[in-house]
Amino acid sequence: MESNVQTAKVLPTKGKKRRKKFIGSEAFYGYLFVSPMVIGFLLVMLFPLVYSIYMSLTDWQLLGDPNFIGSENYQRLVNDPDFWVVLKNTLIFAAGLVPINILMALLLALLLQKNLPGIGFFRTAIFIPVMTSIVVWSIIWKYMFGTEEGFINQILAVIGIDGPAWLYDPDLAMGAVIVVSALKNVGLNMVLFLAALQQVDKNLYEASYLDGANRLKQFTNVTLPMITPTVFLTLILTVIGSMKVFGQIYVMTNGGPGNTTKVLVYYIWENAFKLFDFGYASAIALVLFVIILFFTIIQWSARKRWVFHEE
Amino acid sequence: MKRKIGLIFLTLLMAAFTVACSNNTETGSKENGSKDEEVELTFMMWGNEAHQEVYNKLIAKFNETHPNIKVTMESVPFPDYQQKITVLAAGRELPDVGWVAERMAPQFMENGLLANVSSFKEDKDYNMEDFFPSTLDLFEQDNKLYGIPFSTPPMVMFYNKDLFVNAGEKTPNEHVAAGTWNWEQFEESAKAISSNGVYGANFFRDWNTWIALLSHTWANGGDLFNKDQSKFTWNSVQGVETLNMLDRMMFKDSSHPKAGEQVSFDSGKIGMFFDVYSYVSAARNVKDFEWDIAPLPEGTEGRFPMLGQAGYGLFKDSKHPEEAKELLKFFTSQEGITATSTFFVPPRESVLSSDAFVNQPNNPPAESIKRAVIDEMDNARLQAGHVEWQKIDTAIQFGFDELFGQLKKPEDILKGMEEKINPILK
Repeated sequence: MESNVQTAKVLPTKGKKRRKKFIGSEAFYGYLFVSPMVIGFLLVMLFPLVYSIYMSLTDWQLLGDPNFIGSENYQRLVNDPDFWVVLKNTLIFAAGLVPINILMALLLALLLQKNLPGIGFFRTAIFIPVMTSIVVWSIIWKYMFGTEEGFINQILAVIGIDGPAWLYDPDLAMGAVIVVSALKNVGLNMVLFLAALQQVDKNLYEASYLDGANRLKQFTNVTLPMITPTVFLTLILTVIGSMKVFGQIYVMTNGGPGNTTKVLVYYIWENAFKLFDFGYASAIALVLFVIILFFTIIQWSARKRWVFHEE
Repeated sequence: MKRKIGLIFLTLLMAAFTVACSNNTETGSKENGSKDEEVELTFMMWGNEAHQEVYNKLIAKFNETHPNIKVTMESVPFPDYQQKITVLAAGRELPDVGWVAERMAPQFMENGLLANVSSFKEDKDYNMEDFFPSTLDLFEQDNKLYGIPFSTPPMVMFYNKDLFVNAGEKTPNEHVAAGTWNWEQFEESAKAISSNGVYGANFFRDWNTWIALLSHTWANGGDLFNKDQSKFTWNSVQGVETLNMLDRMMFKDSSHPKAGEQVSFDSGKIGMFFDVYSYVSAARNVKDFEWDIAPLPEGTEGRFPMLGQAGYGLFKDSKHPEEAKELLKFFTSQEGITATSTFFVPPRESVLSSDAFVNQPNNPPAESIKRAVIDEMDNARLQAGHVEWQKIDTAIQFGFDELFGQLKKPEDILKGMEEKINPILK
């Protein structure tokens, strides 16, 4: 600390000599060590981000040169009825996925936290979908939901129910995609919850037991407050993830039937790589960026109120 | 010591960069190769395995006279093809030679992706006069030629003869002979041969060939666009009737599969299937039932099968334009067109009139081919593409999704299409 203050004082007078010594100095190695990360961030994160803001102000059509058109894409966005439908679909997806995913993960974690023999098998089984590629997972489920020869409808046929066209019925398609997405990622949140549950101090349970708390009271007054940091983390991750959903929609429904499952990222992809309207697609992407930022800030600022023992 | 580590670090970083950069520069050095130098060409298409087999043989033949040209064939599924070419064009990685379908040609030509091949006309041995002049229209612009057709198939109806016989129904060809083969009869026949799990008809391949339905609208005097392609005209009495027919067949008669059901013609569960004649390449492999082809049904104004058209384009910026021209010339020579005519209706008169086109193993009877393909060529209509075809296609596809999901009535669906497409056409 002290030496830093000194060098700062010395700098103006001995600037030249100081620069010569820069190579080999501690600061040099410091920069060197962070340089892969910094260069990587600048090249693959910040540059594309800034460039996409510029692109959103042009009419770039992939072939040919982009022309600057100011805020025209954003005006078009506001007046685009499809955009509002797509935005609504994205929010419906998030509103469906987040509670299902978090509650199911927590329930599974509570169920599987006991160290019973063979419990590892169940934990692994629930975690495996997380490691599977989303495309593989979605293709399999697409067949499971098949109308004529799908697994689910065949099971239903056995008990005498004529199964619906799950992925082609506008009332059911979104629900099907939400369930598939929840099952895919519930394992990750479950593992996080398991880790959190096992870190809860056992003494607290004993103390609360002596105070006469029953199982439910123990859960609401001891377990839940102690794992709120993890609940917060999973909540943020799941909300952000649900806003960025694409793979399962692309594979299972292509945004259909009609546009009942078309979400923001799918709409961005469609405009960019199907209709080659890169300027407009960039504008939508920027809106998505702002929406995710907004949700994250809200949760971040609300965390002080309900997250226990935040460090 | 510390300094040494730092220097090693930097050297490694530099080395990594130089390696990464030098890789790119090397590939360009072959550009002005002499005739004998090894040259690689890429040929892109959307053909199936049977098509590729024919091309493998054709390329081997080509190598007998051009041993220095190595041709790599790449197949991209049809629904992704136009998108793929556009992306490759933006990345300057276009193939040298490739298939171009009728609906892609305007976009490719507008953006200057295709090279001028007018010089072929001067080659006496090539004999350009042999081509039907109408088949060249698609690729002509300002008296220059930007592609050569290889396939001009009219849409035909493939039908499962066994299903008709078992149901005691007259087959489409019997109706044609009796002069009763119209769209009302088609709908009735489709209903009559449908049963549990078997559908009378299917208009769609991969659920996106809605264009097959245009034959119905045309037969009644309607059209998709007006003459100069400035207005969407499918929102008409005829258009509504077309969508109503599909709606009836799907949801009332259950004679057409519903969206999401994967039933193909070769599974034996489809009575009548609409596709261009080129589908014969797949139908020839059918062993489980007897099939045949028939002309499309008639409407009040007559019979108008859609004419598909596909050609070869020479993509601009090819590193070896001369060699690519040689390959294209060979593919479209009489020999090349004869080879591909096992599947494709040839645009060369000499090949179309030859026996080789009709007499293929497992082909439908010669008189069926004559009736449904050769005699229908004059009635067939080309659905011209549009520079913005992708957007138009997406909007129409969206409308059909609404029909499949029973979200809206045909009148409202066509109105929705009109509202989306008219601004694109302006």
